[in-house]
Formats: sequence, C-alpha cells, structure tokens
Amino acid sequence: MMSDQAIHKIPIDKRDPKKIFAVVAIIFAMLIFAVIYLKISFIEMFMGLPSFVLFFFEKFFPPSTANLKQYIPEVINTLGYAVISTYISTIIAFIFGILISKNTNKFITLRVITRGFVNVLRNIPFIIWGALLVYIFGVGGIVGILALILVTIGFLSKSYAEAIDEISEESLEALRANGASYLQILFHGIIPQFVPAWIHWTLFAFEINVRSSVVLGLVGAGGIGVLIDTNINLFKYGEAITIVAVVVAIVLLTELITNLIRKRFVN
Amino acid sequence: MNPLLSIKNLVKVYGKKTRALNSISIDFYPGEFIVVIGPSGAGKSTFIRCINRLVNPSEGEIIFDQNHIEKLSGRKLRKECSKIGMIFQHYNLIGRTNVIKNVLHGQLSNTPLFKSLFGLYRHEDKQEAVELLKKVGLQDEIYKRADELSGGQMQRVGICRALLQRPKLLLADEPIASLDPLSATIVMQQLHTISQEKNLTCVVNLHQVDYAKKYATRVVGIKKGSVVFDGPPSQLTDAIIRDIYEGKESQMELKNTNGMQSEIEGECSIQWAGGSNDE
Amino acid sequence: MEHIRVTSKGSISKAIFLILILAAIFIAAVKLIDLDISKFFERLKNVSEVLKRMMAVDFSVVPDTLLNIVTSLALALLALGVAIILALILSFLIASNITPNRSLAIFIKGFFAIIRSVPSLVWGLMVIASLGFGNVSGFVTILIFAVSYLVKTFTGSIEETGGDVIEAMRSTGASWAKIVYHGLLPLCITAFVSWITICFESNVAESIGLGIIGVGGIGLLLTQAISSYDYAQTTTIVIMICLLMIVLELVMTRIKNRIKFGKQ
Repeated sequence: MMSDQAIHKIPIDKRDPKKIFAVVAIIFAMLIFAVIYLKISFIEMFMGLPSFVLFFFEKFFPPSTANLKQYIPEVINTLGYAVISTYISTIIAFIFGILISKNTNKFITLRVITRGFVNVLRNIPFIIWGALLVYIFGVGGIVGILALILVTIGFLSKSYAEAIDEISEESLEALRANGASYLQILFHGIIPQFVPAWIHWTLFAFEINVRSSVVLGLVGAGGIGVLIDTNINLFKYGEAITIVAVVVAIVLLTELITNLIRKRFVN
Repeated sequence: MNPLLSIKNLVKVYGKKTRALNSISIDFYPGEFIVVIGPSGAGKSTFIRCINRLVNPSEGEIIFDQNHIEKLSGRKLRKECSKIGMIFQHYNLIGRTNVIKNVLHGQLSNTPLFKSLFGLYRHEDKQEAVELLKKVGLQDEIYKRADELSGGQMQRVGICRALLQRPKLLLADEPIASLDPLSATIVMQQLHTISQEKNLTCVVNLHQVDYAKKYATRVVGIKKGSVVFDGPPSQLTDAIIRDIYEGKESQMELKNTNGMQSEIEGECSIQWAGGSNDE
Repeated sequence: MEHIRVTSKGSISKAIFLILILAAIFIAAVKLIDLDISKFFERLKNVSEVLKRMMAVDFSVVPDTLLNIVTSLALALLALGVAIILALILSFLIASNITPNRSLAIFIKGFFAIIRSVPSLVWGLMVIASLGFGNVSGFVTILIFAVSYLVKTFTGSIEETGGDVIEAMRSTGASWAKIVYHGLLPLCITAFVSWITICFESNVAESIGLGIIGVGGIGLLLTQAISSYDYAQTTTIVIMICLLMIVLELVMTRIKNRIKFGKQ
C-alpha cells in the first residue's frame, strides 16, 4: 500500500541522475581544461568580436575585380582535378567496396585486411596526404590528384561497402537458387540495386573533391587556393576576397548540379 | 518408381545447440503436390532451403534425380540446383530491373556472363519467357520495372522465373504469406494448374491449412524439426492439426474467411491468366 | 525469327549517350589541365630513395607530439562545445517546420550555405590575416566549420523527422519552446549525437590540417618536420596521427553505441 508521502515521489524518469551528472561534469572539466591549456580568453574574444568583424570587413572589402579573367585557368584546373580524381577513385573504391562487404566477400581475412588498409587512407586528413605526397613526389598537379584519389578511395570504399551490405540478401538468394555464378549474381543482382547509392556517394565525393582541390595549392599541388594565399601574403586583400567569392560560386554551382543529377537519376 | 527426391537423416544444427532439423527422412515422387505445414520456427523454411542447398545441412543425404547433391560444390552443384526452381515469400525480384530480365535470370545457369550482360539470351529462352508471362497475364508489363508491380504480380513474375529454369522440382517457401486473399488464391491456383499440366513435382510451405487440404496430394507436418505427419489431406484431422501447432495455435488458419475463394477458383482453373483481377 | 528485345525502347541509346557524355567530361578534364606528366615521371626515380629514408622512426619527437596532440584535441573539443550550443539554438530557429520567421530562416540558411562553400583552410587564411597566429585563430576557424556542419545536419534531422511530433504537440497548444524542449529534442537526440561524434572527428582532422597554414597543433609539427627534411621525424609523426585517428574513431563509435542503446 502506498502512503501519501510515497505518491509524491513517483519518478517520471528511469535514468540514473548520478550517472548523467558525472558525465556532464567530466565534459565540463574537459572544456575548462581546454580553455586553460590553450590560453584562450573568452572574455577577450567576446569583447574583441565587434572590432574583429569591423577589421575583417575593412581589410577584405571592397573586392577588387580587376584580374577576374586571370583566374579562369585555375578555376578549370580546380574543377579538372576534382573530375579526374573522382572518376579514378570510383572505380578503385568499387573494387575495395566489394572486398569489404560481407555480401560480396565471404573470406573474412581478406575483408579485414582491405578494411584496415582503407581505414589508414581514410583517417589521415586530406591535406596531410597532400603534404606527404609533395614531400615524396615533389610539387605538381599529378601529385595533388594522387592525394585526392587516396583520400577519396578511403571515403568511398567504406560508403560503398555499407551500401552493398544493405542490399537485401533475399534477392541474391533467388539468383543463387536460379543457379547463377558469383559474377552473375554480382552483375545482375548487386550492381542494379547498388546504383542509387553509387550515384549519391560519388556525387558527394565530387563535391568534397572540388573543395579539397581548391586548397591543394597550399601544399604546392595546384588549385585556386594558391592564389588566395599569394594575394594575402602580398596584402592584396581585395583580390583575395574576390577569389574567395569565385570559390563560393564554383562550390555552390557544383552543389546545384549534383542536386539536379540526384533528383533526375535517383528516383 | 524411383523417388525424384530422397532425403535421408537430414540434420541441421545452428551454433552448438539449436537443432533446426532433427534427422528427417522422406521421399518425394514425381508428380506429387506436397504441402508442408507447421508453425514458424518448426523448421519448414530450413527444410525447404536444404533441398536446393541455399542452407547447407549439417548431416544427412539429399539425393535428387539419382545425384547426391549434399556432396557437390561449385559448378556441378549449380548445374544440379538449376533443375530445382524456387519461389519466395517476398518474391525476391531485382526491383530496378524490368520484368522480362528478371524472368530471364532463370536461365543464367546456361548463359555465359558476357552474353547475359548485354541481354543476348537465346531466342528460345526469350520466347519462352514471353510465353510464360502471357500465360500469367503479365504480357503488358514486360518492360516495366519489377518494383512497379503489385505483390500478386511480382509473385507471378517469380513463378515465371522459376519455370524458365525448366525445373524438375519446384520449391515454394510461403509463396502467399505476403499476398491479399484474392492474389493468394490466384497464385495457388496457378501453381496447382502448372504442376498438373507439366507433371512438375511441387513442395510448398504453407501455414494456411485450408489451402493445404484443397490442393495437396500429400501433406507433411513438421513440428520442432521432425516430421509428425505424412499422408493425404483426407487423413489430416483437426486434432492432428492442433497437435502440430501445439503452443502456437494463433498461427493456424483453419478456415478461409474470404467467401469469394471458390468463385475465383472456378474461373482460374480453366486458364492460368487471372491478371486483370488483382491490379 | 522476330527479335525479342530485353530492354524497353530507347533505353539502350540513352545508356550509350550517357556513357559518351561521361567519357567526354573525363577527356576534357585531362586535356584542359596542366599536368606535368613528364616531370612527374622524372621525379619517380628519386621516390625509392626518399621512401628508404622514411623507413626510420625517431622516438625523441614523441613527447612533443603528444603535447601537440593535446593541443589539437583541445581546439577540436572547445570548438565542438561552442558549436553545439550555437547550432542547437540556430537549427531550431531555422528548421522549416518549426521556424518562427520564414524569411529570416531562409536568409540564415543561405548565409550558412555560403559559409560552408568556403573551404576551411581558406577561412583559416582569412582569420589568421585578421587575428594573427595563435590558438584563437585556430579555434575560430574550426568553430566556423563546426557550426556550419552542425547547423546543416541538425536542421536536416529536424525537418526530416519532426513533422509528426510538431503537428501533434501544436494541436495540444504547446508553445514553440515547449515543442522544442519536450518534443523535438528527445526525438532528435540520437541523430544529434551521431552528428556530434562525426563533427568531433572532423574537427580533429581540420585542426591537424590547419597546421599547414600555421595553426598550432600536431599538423604544425608535421609541417615543420617536412620543411626541415627530417625524414624520421616525419614518419613518426605520421604514424602517431594515424594512431590518433584510429583510436578516436573507436572511442567515438563506442560512445555512439552507448548512447543509442542506453547507458549500461
């Protein structure tokens, strides 16, 4: 029998309040540690915010459109790097994707090795790959494309593998009952069902590659980013912001096109 | 008469303890229409999938057409199993591929990869595919994507695909469980007619016992991995059915609540096509 | 013998057309860019030399590296913390199904789309030009990246899954704040946690990458090792970065699963 007192104590939450409190406290502690360790003063930042915004607009505006035409070759370079690297990566990533997915590769050792290799490619940030490859191979467009390819393979292989994993095993079961060979099941069963995901991820990779190839120049591998850096170093801020605007235009345009393609083909 | 399919001491163990199939021995003869009944989890699905090696048995022999298929692997296994057609509860078609290509998958075991990729199947195969689709009433949907069809239509495509294998044995794992009563009746009727016309042995998993009684020449009841009943439908009393479904009575469907059933069956038994009804 | 087609009329020619266009794009790209292929192959001869020299490991740089890892992690964490707060507020204000002011929402969404289209290294260049080198610039740059990412993903989740809950709660007469706090927040929290873990991993990657332009952290250390042609140090630092990212991914996956499937 519940007493009147007990009725008031009906909890509406089953979770352990002490645990939640502990977790939140730890997170707070880590944040405060970070602030102290980095020697960042938030108060200074807050107070400095208006002057930073003013300063920023003063320096970088008005944009100077004098040399607009000179940027065109670099724009083409940027887009071209993205196109080439996406094309090459998609083929290689598809093969890796098949090797990583349980649906298509029954040999667990091979799966684990491929996944490990792909993880190494994925986990190293793109620009570090760029720096490393320039270190090894020297500067140049090809090196930049190579860096893009490595990173994109890392990203796409995992995404492709996850998409292949999601293909229903039942439809593949039917093909097995029909007596189809492994390759036939791959081409008639897996690939048709994989196409929408393939389009989605490949377009996504292309968008990322356009952004990445903008900054490739910062490690000496070409791309419009190099112009931004040079102009800033020469204190030509107006020019720099114009180029940034050009970059924004390219990226937004790319997004627009990829969205259109998506709507058209992934019905 | 030699049995078409002879199963001896079939055992399937999952993990270390779960005995899905408990030493089943049974023979199936040409021309029979066998319906397997039993509650879910009894082992019906496992049993039927062991026959064409979609599931590999732990022990036992499977002798199909005088061949020990439990010992085969690779190309030889595929060749033998291509003589066994199968239709599934969820139709298992390739949604984005069109109807006729799905049906032609039935002949993949006899078509080299390269040719199949470009649709270069043999003319006889393509012709027979179109004929089969006509017979089930789908001649207007040949180039439609499979996922644009209704459930009943998809199952009929599945039947055509299995039949294109020109099989000696047709397996069906709960073929009507996902269909509305109207489509279900059409599909069962067509299966039965095909079996009789082509003298094709059929093994069908069903949990609707009334369909079992209506169409089967022989009923097999499986309970907890063992065969507990094997005989003509006339011997299948309500008491035996209750025993098979002991503990899971909610899964029995003794009486069909759809009064239209017998009318439709009358129409269907004359020809196969019933396509216009279930769109 | 009449020919029976396997595909519907015109789909073969459409397919061929598509392939031709794709091929044309690729060929155009290759022709239009200045690729110095000959130079590249010349330098290939030196590659084996360089790789041999990179096979060494220099453990003396490890303590420095660890300190820098802490810096990078701290920057990433701090930016994440602030970004979460900002993104939570903003995304509930601009999600189309619950925004109090449509035109403001569209304006802010456009604003963030533009912010997102500038790659973070470019932001880094501009922030450093305005604020100088130092941790503050690093923090601000990563913050810009993190906020725009979280705002996009949070808003996406709210718009995708919130519709029914909002409808139901509106019919009970709940205010905007109540709908957000009692309805949408519990609904979206697992998706949000997913986005947050991904954001943290990306933040760490960004913070490493920003080292190229001078932001403190392990990226800067690596850049310095590379410019001084210290092969052994470079290799060591790269290996440590690799280990860091792998450990990070494992930890994040664990946290994600813990929260998804309930605290044990």
